[in-house]
Amino acid sequence: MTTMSIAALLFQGITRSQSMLNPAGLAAHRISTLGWITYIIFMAVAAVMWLLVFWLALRRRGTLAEHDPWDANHGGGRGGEQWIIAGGLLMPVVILTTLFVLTMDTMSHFPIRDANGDPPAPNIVVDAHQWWWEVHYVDGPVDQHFTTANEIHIPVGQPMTIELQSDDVMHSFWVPQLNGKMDFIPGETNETRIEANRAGVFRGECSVFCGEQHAHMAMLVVAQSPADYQKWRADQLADAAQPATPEAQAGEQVFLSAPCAFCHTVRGTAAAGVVAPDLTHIGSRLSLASDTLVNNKANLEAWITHAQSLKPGVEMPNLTQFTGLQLREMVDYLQQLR
Amino acid sequence: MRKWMILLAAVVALALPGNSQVQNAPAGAQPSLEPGYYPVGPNPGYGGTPAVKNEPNPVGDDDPVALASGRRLFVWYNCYGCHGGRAGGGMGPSLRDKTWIYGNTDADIFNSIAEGRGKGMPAWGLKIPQGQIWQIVAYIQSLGTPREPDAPK
Amino acid sequence: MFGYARKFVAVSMAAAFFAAGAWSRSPRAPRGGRQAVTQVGGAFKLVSPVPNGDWEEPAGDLANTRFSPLSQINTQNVKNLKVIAILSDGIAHGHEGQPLVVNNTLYEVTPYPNELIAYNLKDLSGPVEWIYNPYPNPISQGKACCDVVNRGAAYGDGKIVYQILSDEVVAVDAKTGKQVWRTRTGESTQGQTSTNAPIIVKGKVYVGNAGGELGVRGKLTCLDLATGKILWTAYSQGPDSDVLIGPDFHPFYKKDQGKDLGVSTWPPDQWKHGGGTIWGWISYDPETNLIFYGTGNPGVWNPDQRAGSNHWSITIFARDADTGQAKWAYQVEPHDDFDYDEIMENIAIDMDWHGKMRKLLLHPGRNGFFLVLDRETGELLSAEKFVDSTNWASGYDLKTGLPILNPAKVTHQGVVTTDICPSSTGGKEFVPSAVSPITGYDYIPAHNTCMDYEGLPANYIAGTPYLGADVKMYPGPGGYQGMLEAWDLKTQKPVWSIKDPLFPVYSGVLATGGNVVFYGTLEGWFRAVDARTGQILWQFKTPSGIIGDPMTYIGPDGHQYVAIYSAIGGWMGATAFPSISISDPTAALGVVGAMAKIKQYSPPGDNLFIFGL
Repeated sequence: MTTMSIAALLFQGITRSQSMLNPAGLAAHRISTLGWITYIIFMAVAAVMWLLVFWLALRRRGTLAEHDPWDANHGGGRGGEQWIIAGGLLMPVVILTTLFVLTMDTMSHFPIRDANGDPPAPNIVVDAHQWWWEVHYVDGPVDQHFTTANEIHIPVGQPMTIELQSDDVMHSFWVPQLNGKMDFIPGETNETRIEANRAGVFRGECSVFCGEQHAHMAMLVVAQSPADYQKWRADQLADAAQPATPEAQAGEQVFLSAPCAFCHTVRGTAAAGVVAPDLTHIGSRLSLASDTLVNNKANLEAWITHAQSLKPGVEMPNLTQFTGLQLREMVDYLQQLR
Repeated sequence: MRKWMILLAAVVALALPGNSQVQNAPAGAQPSLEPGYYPVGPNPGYGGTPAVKNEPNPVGDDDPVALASGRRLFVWYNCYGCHGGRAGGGMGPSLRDKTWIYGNTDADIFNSIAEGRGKGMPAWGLKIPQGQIWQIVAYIQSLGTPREPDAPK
Repeated sequence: MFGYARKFVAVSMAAAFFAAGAWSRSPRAPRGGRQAVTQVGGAFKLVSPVPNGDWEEPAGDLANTRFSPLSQINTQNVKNLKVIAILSDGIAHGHEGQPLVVNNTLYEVTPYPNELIAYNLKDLSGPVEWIYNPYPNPISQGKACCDVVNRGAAYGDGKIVYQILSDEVVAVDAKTGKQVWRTRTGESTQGQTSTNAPIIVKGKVYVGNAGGELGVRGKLTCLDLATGKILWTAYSQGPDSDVLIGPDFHPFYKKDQGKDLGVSTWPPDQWKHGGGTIWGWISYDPETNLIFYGTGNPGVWNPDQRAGSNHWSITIFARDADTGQAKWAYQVEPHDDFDYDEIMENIAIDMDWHGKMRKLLLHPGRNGFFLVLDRETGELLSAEKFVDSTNWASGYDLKTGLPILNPAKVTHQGVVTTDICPSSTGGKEFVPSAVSPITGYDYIPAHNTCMDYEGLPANYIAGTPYLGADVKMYPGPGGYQGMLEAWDLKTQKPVWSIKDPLFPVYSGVLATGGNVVFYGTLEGWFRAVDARTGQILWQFKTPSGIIGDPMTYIGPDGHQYVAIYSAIGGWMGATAFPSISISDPTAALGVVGAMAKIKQYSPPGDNLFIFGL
């Protein structure tokens, strides 16, 4: 089981390039550009320095007798003083000032405030928990709000303002292809804004150590065309799909009579727990357990029965009270909740 | 040869289930398939006998993880709504005082939670894993002692 | 001969006049619950007749004035009041509400197991007439948020009608004690209980339900008095068809207008656990044929789990008494942050309001504001603070009907908001005030309690509390925690108050034609107070705190008696029970912090006291 999930993860890592050097949004482009400029300048400086070091090391230095002793009045050697002033003062000032200006300019393109200087009304509120992301869509009137988990969908070309809150410890929101890091600080509210300029699935991670499973606290940002995004929104807003097959119907009964309903919500049924990820549309998600596992039946069965082996320390207990048939039916039911 | 055996043993050990504090439901206890309904009183699924007899708490009474989990579950499962924010009572009796209607050993408290009781205490043993019930027992036994997590101020 | 005849006629005529005069002033004045007195005093006009010897409805009359015109007991002689009888039922839980008196029989509904006991007033020392035991489901004891109380019965057409804790309405023959019908209105396993007193109007019984702390949907049920058949049900949220909102519905304020507000002002599906239970008092106005009542808190106490204004929680409704269709509704507090149920009494009177005679509805609110509404339209005419420490809002904007919120007192999940006044138990709880048409005052049993409040995430598990709040209460500033306050209806200002330093006033009030106002304290004092000046004329220390409502009646001997329960319990009084620990100030939904001393003052009790001259 463990090897399979590792393999899946590796596969994901290869196909989804979670890198700030592969930007997919305006903010990430700017950061990436700044990164490259900085890299090139520093590499150039480093190249110059290495050249000088090699030249120093390789040129004929002569014997001690051939050189005048170092004279305090002259600064010793040919143009030593100029080297120090040019290389030690002017060059760093010029380079660092340039970089400073470029950085300030890049940061000025991150408007988290709107034209009046107020924080903009958030489109999404993310509540970070140990070790999953609770995502609330709060656009529009309250009966158009909905909740999902670990997977954020955004329309291509539209910036989405995200409000960041945490009830337990510090976390950090970082989707390298879309934005810079912004922390979740318990007791405070932070905002960030992400915008994608092409469709795709972009992986992000928690970027502040937050406990045992910090390494397994990833999220997926799915950028879709505006039409697809609206369709996704409408689907998410709808109540849970009614089970159509007899297995799924039996599975619904198993689900509702198990303790799942105490912590999870499946809107449209009696399950209305809020301390665990919302499962109303779990079948439509790409991954489970904050992108720890690919979302398929086998992994879901494993998660339900042995979450503590897959992600030790999470609040999901090992639920071993089901017979094999009940488990399969319940997973059938959950997978059809698209 | 020895190196490979050690390696093999390590792999086998790693593959075993990691969580030792959760046991399977007792033999004969079937999860109720009635959605949303809580039978109360001694749970028929346990055959009319108490769920556990005279066992001490397998998670231990002062394991900080168990106490923290117990406190968290006390809130998540709405125990505080009936028994009071810090278990001082309300709709249900106080769990902080010295009066125990059904006994105060670890096993007695486990049974009260698992089986439910006639005046409205639900039978949690039909639903939640035994390990979680033991964690709640640990929290209840810690009330009023220095180990109590999130004690009243 | 003429001389003798004239004298004879004169004397007999004089005798006849004397007899007539004596007869009309005699204590043996004719009785008759509703048909009795229609006008007393001049401060305002009574809207429904007030009882003149019997007590057939929970509030005495249908308009909920809790005023009795009986004046045998008056400010001069009340100091001679003494105990006539103490009737115990052996059930040491909170006795809220009041007994009924009909045809020389006193009817008491006990807390769970909700027995109906008929006492023969002709011989109180003898055996009771009969006891009817409905055997409610025992698990309902674990679903009652605030003690296993019952707020009383109503009498109609020879039947005593009341609710039992496990959600059934029962009708019992008033003479024989045999059950006439029994109708189920909900399920204990889903967390619903039934505690409020019915009213009976024109052959229909109106009851509400309870369980707003367990995510139960509130509803008003109308049953046929003769058969017990359910005629209609009006929910407190959901689509307009559930709430019985139709073309006749004309809310006064824009904020209450719109289609299906009972769905659109909640996140998806949250209205299904939307509370709004109706566990307080129901009143009726014969002039407009409207039923008035208020709804409770919007389900989960954590406000962040239910964004939106959460219609129709915390709303005063006016419904057509026959069809149940809503005529108007006024939501007192949108998006409740504090558990300010507004199920308090809605007293219907007609009064000169700023120069014009208007049909008013008086509502001393849980939120510390005394609301005066026009009962024809639902317009808010006045909202003044009747408890000084109230700080969750600075007032009401009468144009929009919205409270002017204090942003520092708004509550949220994960944030502890401190010093919110009043606490969840309110500036006044459900315990009813009384108005006097002689003085023009409303006598309010008030609280001065404040709280700290933190929202927590709450999982809905059917049959268990759906709360999501950590609450700790404590006495408010000013050195007193309770008071009986006389509120002048014309000026909307307090006139006098009797302050209780230790505990809130958690009993109902009775105002009488003898200008005596009766109320009780949580320490157990039962007091008679001068209605005009507030001077305490008489008091008696009963053994247990008083959370019931005083009522008065004429006994078989033609004398006036006053009856009151002395049996602490309920929400505020829960701390008196041995099963509550004062080491946890957040216990009992937070009241323990404010009531820790009660154990030294009042043990639980089970008594009904009858006082007379």
